[in-house]
Amino acid sequence: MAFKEVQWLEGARRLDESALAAIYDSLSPELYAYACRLVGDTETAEDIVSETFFRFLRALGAGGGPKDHLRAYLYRIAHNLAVDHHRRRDEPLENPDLDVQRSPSAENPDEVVEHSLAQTQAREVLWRLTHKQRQVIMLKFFQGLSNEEIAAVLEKPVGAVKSLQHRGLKSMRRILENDFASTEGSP
Amino acid sequence: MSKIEDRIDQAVSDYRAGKPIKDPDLQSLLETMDMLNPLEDVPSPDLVRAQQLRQAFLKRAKETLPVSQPKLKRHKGWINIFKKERSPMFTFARILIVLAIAFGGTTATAFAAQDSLPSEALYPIKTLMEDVRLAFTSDPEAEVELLLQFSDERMEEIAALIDKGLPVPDAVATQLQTHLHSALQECTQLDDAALLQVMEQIRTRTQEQLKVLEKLGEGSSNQPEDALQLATQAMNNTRVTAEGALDDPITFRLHQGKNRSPDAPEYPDMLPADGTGDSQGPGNKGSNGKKGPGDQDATP
Repeated sequence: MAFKEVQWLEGARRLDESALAAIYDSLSPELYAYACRLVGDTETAEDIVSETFFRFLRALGAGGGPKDHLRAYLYRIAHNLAVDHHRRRDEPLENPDLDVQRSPSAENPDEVVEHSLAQTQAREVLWRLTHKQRQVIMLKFFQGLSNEEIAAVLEKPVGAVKSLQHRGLKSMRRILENDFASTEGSP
Repeated sequence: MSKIEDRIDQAVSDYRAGKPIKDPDLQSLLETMDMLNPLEDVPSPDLVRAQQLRQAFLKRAKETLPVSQPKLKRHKGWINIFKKERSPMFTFARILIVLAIAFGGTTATAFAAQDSLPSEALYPIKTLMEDVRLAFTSDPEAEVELLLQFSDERMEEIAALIDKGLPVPDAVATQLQTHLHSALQECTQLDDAALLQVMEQIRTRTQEQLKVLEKLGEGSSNQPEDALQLATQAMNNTRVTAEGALDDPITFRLHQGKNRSPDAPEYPDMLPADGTGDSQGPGNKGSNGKKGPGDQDATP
């Protein structure tokens, strides 16, 4: 664990405001990006980040919270909240909100729609993976976490992370081949 | 861990760094990652709202008081060591240590076992460790969470076995069923607010797992169907029970009580009338009035 994280955690356990603010400022942007990629909705992603930090605070207030691996701990909460949100939605991927999913670079409305559909498809594939496969793929590919950090999030050995990565990629390929091959080329 | 997983891990790192992948097999696998590229772009958050949420967090932090620590902690360590009566868990822990040593290692063995599959030699250690973790957990909410974690683990194992083209032993599905059943039973120990929260989680979690099982079933034509059917059935029953609990927690408590007799009727109003059927509240109509051990939390 990084020295900075150790110091933050020490401060957080004392409910030191500056330590908590530093943790929030440093980690909330990446947690927001993570949640946003999973749920595809900025407002929900913000809510997930907010709830993640409140739960962290509640745990600290009760004398609990992470013993180490603060970042992993927060990712774990955020992921669980995203999963809960996804499960509560009946048709999560049918009606994507094009407004919030627009690529920053896209100007052409057709491109915006195309990009949004590609995002929807990517998200649909991700949600068809098992819980842990999805976590590994997301944390590795987008959040840039190392295998060791992902192992801390999953509370599993690094070997298991590599196995999940392998299986996740194979599952993704299978889903693409079986379910999306026929729709390729159609508008 | 097999070498292929190390190779893929290295290839993933190279691919992300824009380095060429020489192995054509891995190349095609890694290209599936490209379909995730559209998710790279993340819209900016609403800065005003983000600032408000930050302020709310810090305000809450100020209001949160740290748990006060007693100046002098009651000394109780020696009591546990020297007490005359050993708990069953003490014996259990000793068995575990002996087994770990018997398997030729200690912590390393136990750690390696975490990634093992039912077809592998270390798998019994993995399940034994799960049993120990469970036995050492006394808080019902933590126990439910642990049981749900274990059911997730069984699902991962089923997925891994199918992925490797190996048959899924019935025992894995049976274990999954047992974890889910025990989780439901343990939920009866929770207070109403916690029960509803956990049931909501179980309902949504099982819905998702059912989709995964359906997908696994489609992609495993050479797989004996028994294990998958049993897993699907267990998952579905749990989902239905969780939905029932959300509608009527009291009846759920009556049905799932830990010491409920296996031949007890499915519904309370199917009990034979014995003249003592004084109703104690909603969901308890027709009850014989006897309060079972599992019903202790029915009235909050």
